[in-house]
Amino acid sequence: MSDRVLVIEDDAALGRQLVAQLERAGLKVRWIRDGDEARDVELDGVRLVVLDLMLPGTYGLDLLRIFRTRSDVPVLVLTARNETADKVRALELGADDYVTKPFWPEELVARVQARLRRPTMTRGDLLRVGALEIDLAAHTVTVDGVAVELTNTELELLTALARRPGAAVTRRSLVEAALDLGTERTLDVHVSRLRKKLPDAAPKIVTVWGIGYRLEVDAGVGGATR
Amino acid sequence: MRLRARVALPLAIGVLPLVALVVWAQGELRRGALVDATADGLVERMTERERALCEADPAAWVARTRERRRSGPRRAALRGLPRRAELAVYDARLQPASPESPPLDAALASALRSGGDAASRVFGPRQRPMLAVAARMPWSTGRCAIVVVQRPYPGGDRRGVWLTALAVALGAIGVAVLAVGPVVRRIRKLTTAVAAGAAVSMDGDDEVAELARAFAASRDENRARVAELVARDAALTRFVANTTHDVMLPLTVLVGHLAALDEQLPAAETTSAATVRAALEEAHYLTSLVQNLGVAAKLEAGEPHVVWHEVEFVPLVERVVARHTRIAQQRGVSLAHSVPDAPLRVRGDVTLIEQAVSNLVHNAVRYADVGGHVAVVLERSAPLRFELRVLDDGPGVPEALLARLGERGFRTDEARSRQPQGFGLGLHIVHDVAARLALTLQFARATEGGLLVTLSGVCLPA
Repeated sequence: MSDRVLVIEDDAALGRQLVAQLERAGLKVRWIRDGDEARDVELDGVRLVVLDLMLPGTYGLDLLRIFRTRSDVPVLVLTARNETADKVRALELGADDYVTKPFWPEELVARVQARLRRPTMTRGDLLRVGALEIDLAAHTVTVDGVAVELTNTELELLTALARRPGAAVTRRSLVEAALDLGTERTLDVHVSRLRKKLPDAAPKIVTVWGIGYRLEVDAGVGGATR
Repeated sequence: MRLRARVALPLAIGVLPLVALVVWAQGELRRGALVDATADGLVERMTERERALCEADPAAWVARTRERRRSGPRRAALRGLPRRAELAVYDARLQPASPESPPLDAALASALRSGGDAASRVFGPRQRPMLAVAARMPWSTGRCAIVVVQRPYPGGDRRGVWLTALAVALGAIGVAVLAVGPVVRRIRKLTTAVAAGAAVSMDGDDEVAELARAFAASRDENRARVAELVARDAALTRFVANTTHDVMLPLTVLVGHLAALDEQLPAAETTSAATVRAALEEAHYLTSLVQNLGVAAKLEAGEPHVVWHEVEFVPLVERVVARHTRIAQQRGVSLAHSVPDAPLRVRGDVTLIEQAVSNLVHNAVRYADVGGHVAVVLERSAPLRFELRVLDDGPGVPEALLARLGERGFRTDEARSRQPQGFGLGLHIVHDVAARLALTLQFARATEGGLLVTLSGVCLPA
């Protein structure tokens, strides 16, 4: 499936920026400037729509309503009116998320990537993050196909981190997930041992100040599957 | 005091003494007329012949006169005196003319000595009062200069008159109270209409109808004024919304240009990079300020502007963190966040909550030291409770000032010296939003040395 993103924005300067920002993030972009023109646009092959609400011709919410009659494509709404009623209306009509102007390029890209990164199930009992693979049924861990021996606690810890690759996981969550009787202090000991056991090719376990730990992955869309 | 009581009480206070005065005055006038008639009758009856007989033997004259009145012809005997009247005569010095005559009553004597031609006094039991009238004869010598007659005085018993007067007064009060009834009903009808804000109409041309018309006119005027204010408020809101919209678009483009410029600048051009980053920071501050002013206006407008709905908290936190990532990076501050894997929804207003969280993160990033950290953690602390923590390792806030952080315009000295351009609106908005949406906001000193802000409240079931 293509990574094509449809941008519907009437302002020329902002539209150019949106296209450039999304293309820099590795996405293919099609830009439509007019609401009327967007009414009949083909949505097959479009993975996400960035939709401005204030459009000439057909209004953004009307477009959203039209899109929802024929597609479940994720729609990210851009709104300049910071009014809750507009956002609620958009979400009720089927928008998946919104970004309020003025927004930062990374804010928009992050929201787009968050929508595109929805995990796809490959096998229910297999977690894969880069070179790391965890077989939940067999309780085995491999890195680049080489088995790594872990204790049950270390396996649970790694699994809890790998379930949300790239995301910081709180110490409290990790203790609840992996340590039956342990405390946050013993957590650090287990993490330290786990780090030593994982080879260099494995994703790194990074300490996140004030939160806990994160399994680091390369930036990009769809960094992990399970 | 109710209207009926207001009418009855003054009537009672005013009418009762007035009726009493009239009854008393009427009694006095009757008594005066009777005294005058009696005195005139005595003088008229005391002809020269009668005087001579009296002077000759006062006791015999008195006895004969009594006998003549009781047994003689009615017309001759009375001449203004009732049959049961008793006579007594006295000389000019007010001494009894005969041994049978009793001494002259002191009150009568006193009145005569003061120069009057007649004097009177009421005496005897209340049921059968008597009237004594002393009349001075047209002569001032001899034994029969003063004649006193004692006669029954039916007018002396005034109990019946008093009772009648009281009944009349009470009747008048009752009639007045009954007469007020229709007025009271009209006023009640008017009160109900005014209280309900309904159209006020009242037939007639009395004062109540005039009051109703005045109310109706005032109501129409107030409605027109309120409509005018609402229209003005709506126009102002539209103006602010349109202006905000017009500001947001170029601001977004400006931010995009600056961000692109920042990425395109070669690393060697440190001066240009510093300028672009300073511009980025200003643009970031400006966007935050514009958003804050919009939210502050919404909060000032009150409850009707709060839109209650289910807010998805996880994407909200992700949006806020993404918004501050670049500024944190260029300030050398590590900004990290953690959100639950499962959706976390709360009842509230997404615009208000997002701005509150944004202000907390913005504050933490702005006041962090280079190389410092900011952590944003959202988690479900209990099945139906959430907790959002924003933690930094910046300079923190002295314990004594923590409680003042939510005050409008309050800034610590540290904040003033680090960021002179702020004016303490951000945390005040957080405080206001928390209060408006029934969330708990707590400031504490973090164990890491910085500030720990916790926003917590009720969330919906997972």
